[in-house]
Amino acid sequence: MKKYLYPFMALAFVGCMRDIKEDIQYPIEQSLTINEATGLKFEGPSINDASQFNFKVETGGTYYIVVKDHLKNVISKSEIKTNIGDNVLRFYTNAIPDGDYFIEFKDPQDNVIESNKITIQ
Amino acid sequence: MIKKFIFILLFPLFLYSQSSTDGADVSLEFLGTTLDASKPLSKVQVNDTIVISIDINNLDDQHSITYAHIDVEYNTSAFARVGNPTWKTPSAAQTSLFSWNNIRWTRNSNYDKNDLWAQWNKSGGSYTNTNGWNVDHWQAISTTEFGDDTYGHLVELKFKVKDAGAAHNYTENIYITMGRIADNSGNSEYVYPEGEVRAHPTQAISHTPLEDLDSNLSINVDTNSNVDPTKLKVIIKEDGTQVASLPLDSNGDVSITDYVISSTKTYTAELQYNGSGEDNYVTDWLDNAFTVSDVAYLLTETEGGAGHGNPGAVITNGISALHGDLTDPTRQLTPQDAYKMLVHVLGDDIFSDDHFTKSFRAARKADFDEFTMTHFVNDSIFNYALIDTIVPNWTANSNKFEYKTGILGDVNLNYSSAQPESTESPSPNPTVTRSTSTENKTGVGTAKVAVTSKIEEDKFIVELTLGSEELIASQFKLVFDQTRLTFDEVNFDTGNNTTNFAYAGDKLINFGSINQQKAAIKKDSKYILTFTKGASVNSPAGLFSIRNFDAANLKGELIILDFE
Repeated sequence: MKKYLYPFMALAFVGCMRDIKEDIQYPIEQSLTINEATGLKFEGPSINDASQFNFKVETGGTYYIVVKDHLKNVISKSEIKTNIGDNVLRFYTNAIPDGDYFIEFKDPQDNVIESNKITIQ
Repeated sequence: MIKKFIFILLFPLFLYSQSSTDGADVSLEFLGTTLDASKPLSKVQVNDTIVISIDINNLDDQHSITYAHIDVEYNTSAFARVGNPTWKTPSAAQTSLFSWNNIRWTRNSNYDKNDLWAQWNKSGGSYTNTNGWNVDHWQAISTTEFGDDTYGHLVELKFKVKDAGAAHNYTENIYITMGRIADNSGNSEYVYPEGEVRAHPTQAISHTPLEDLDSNLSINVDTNSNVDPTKLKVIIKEDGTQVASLPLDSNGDVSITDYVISSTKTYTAELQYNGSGEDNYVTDWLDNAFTVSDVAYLLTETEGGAGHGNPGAVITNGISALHGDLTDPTRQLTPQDAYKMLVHVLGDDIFSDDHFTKSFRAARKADFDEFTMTHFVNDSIFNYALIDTIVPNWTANSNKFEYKTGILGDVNLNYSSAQPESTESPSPNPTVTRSTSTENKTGVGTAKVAVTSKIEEDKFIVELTLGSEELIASQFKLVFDQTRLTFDEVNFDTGNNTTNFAYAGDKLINFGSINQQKAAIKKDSKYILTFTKGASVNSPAGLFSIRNFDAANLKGELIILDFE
């Protein structure tokens, strides 16, 4: 009986082990590379659905993405958690009418860290 | 055998076609009027002077046309030939015209009526004395070939159009009777043979002229800046039959001159919605016009509901009152009106279908501008509908029919035409105007609303927090990315005395609150919307946007929300 028990326990032990994770660093697309220590870069001045952007910070933590229409009205605001350095995320546009927008990245104290004007099409 | 087969196959085509396969075609071509070359024949009126050309098309590549004589008869009750003809033959051509009065061609029944040379050359047809008909005999001969295009003009004629009376039959009142065409360029004359000189494609003019009505007619529909007039159209009916469907331009203008053309017929103009695709009357106009602030405004007027006081003295604008007067008895603002509006805003569509027809209204500008609360209370006649009868003053050079518009439920008039200040203030104490990409709204003040969103595990959460303690009503329309989010619920933290509402469409959630207990919605009230997100969504950016909003203070006055 023991000869079956040991292999079974070994399998159960291995099966319950925590997966070994590696932080894989994917290369950032050339168009989103920011050479400075901080910055904000979209794929271009015009973006469409699920376009990527890079928000590079020296201090990781919580930031807010504020979307303002061309009349400077806030129409959307989102909280993101960032790491130190590059943070490449997607910007979805299905819920936002086509047009020109101001995108502001703010810290929790409401200070504008980065801003950009983009066209959603 | 094959030739027989081909002939049998093509025989119906031979019968159908009136054009000669060679030879020459002769035709009357309408060239507009002397004042408007682009005017179609169908719009020609009595007293217009029309231009008609006699065209000859040479289909015979073995011969050149250097001679022609063509006879044209016309009814003198309907037309008078005027002015000098303009010959289009080569400059050295010899031309001549002979005319006979009170003569008409009796057709040769042995040949096709458009077989022009056979009609004359074979026995069976004749000119006979007939009162009311004239015949012109147009003849030209040249040493060089006629015509310089496919349908080369032989000569251009002008006819004054006359009113021959209602009983007159205008059929074939200008008519090619016969024609002879020849080629004299060789050693001997070649006469285009019978059967090959055809009147084609137009042997006759049969138009019944319109009345001599020269007034320019137009419609203008004045709309609120939130109502795009290009999404409206005007249907013109003549004695009940539609004759035109005309979209308004960006100024709300449209010309109806070409469609209102008789002084004896009855014309109506009906306003219809002309949006398409993404344009939708309910979501773009009605739901934004008929909102919770309108309900709050009406509640302050009526005795029931919130009853915030001052019944009978809050709403002073007659158009406002009409927009809130949704139940019997009419021309009275009652708690039942406010209740019905509340039901609609809470999500129970009181119109159910045909929303434009049931809720959009128009009135003549003069009537709209002068309509006051006194007119409302006194039950004064006011044609506030979508159909009006058009009665031009035909002696005037122009007639402009002007209208203004409104939407039922729009008590605070943010989607309705403005009245002149001399009538009444169109909106209660407006002091603040806010423009967004979708609308302009004017209110008496502003209130802060904090908004944010975030991803929490497999959920996407949007949170709105009211920063004012003076609101009795609020309403938000939030668009979400339906391709990545599934709406779960709205949680309200607005106090115990507040009625909350929410209903979700495919990609839009309409939600808000109204307090009917004479108290404000508590400050820092929260609306928390929860969605389940797709697994691939790695960012909250752009997953929602605020489309429209609405709020009212304790007096029922519209408050502009300022998101931060």
